Amino acid sequence: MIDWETIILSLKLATTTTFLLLIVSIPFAWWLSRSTGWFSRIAETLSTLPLVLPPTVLGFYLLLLLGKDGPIGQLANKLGLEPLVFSFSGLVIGSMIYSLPFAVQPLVASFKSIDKHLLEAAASLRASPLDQFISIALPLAKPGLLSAAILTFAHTLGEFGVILMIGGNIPGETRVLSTAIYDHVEALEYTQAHWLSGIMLLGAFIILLSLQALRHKSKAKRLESGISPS
Amino acid sequence: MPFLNAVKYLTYLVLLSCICINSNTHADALRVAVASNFRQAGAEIFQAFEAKEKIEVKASYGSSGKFVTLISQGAPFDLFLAADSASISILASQALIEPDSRQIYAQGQLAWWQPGSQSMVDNNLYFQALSDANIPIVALANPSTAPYGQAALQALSELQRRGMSVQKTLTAQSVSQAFQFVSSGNADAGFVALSQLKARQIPPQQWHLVPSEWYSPLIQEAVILRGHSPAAQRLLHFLQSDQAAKAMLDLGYRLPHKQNAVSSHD
Repeated sequence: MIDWETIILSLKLATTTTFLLLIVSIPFAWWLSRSTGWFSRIAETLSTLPLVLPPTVLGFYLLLLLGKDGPIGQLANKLGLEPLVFSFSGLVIGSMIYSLPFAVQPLVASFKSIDKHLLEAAASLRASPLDQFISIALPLAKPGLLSAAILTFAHTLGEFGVILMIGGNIPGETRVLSTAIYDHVEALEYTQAHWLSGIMLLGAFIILLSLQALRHKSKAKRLESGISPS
Repeated sequence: MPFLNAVKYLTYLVLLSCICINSNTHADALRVAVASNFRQAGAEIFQAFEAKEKIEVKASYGSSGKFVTLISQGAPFDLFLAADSASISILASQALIEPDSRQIYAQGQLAWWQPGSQSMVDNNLYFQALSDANIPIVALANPSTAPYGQAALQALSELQRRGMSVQKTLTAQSVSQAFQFVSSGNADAGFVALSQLKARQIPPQQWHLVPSEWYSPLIQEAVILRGHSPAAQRLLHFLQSDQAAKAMLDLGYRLPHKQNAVSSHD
């Protein structure tokens, strides 16, 4: 009754996307939080676009870019890679762009909230910028990192429009939870649709609840550290 | 915090299982794009094929027009079971199909489904009475992507020409969704495929076959796509078997090509 293949594929997509997106977003968000130039403002705006764009617009452009006649699709073809549209790797690329603001925004916020004096103190002790970032910024931004990871994971899990445009709904390859539910409803298979929707609902609730608990915890910690003399 | 810890361990478990479970892309599985009207017949036929040939069939269902777009963009399907022949012709003009693999597998029939109706009169009388009727919401598949939607649009204009009035038409993504719109009560009536009514065992007093002269025949063609898996030919062949024919006939499909074959033997 429960379509495990689809559930596992969705989890795999969300995990892969979260992992790769964090690798890309951490340096990007660090640069955004440190730089004040107009170029970084434009970059930040561009990275926020997926938040307001309809997923179909994103999916349409991705289809044109990644498709076999598109520039990136042709490049992949020349490099001997598997086609990017209608494949798992295409879904990962699409999801990374779709969820980009959900990873970047919390990271930028938490990087910006770091006390500049700490970094200056480290610099005066001859810590290199990389060392400052790894030893001071990253540990202090841990709550933001966790929020970014959780939000990206949840957002990717619920993605529908982009996947519909570039996925093709192939079982075991590009059929994820949201498209499977759409398919089940269309076929009047309400029992299966109920199962998958229920799992999504429960999952979303647990994810948001843990996010809340996390924020609570970090707030408590901050208060604690504020009280103790430093 | 016990809750956070529980979530933490659950997350580790999920990540671990995602890494361990290698969803190997079955290279030998057949990927088939299937027109929505053929969902039930397809499910039955593919199951029989899987049992006989030990080849997995991965079917995706949707409107034929949508699949034409997907396939032209490079979607990796081995076979395409369309709801018409025009979709296949478009793909042929783009050299995306295996030449000589085109074949008719069924002819679909359009039906008018009105769950509120309890009339057992014959089709002619029924549609005569319908000419004076006022149907608030009629569902049909999207005529620009679904062949059954095109047929429905032709039939609808014939009915409207005869005086039937409709307040609103509800356009569905595919004939499956048109069926769902009527079944859920969101439309008062709709144009659906006969196969859907038969598969769901809808009582015959609720539906009537649309006179075939009201719409262009729904000659459904199947084709092997370029770059296909070697097993595609076997499924195409299986579609012409007696076992498949029986499944299609039971669901109300016509098999014009079979009749020709029989009559040519006479």
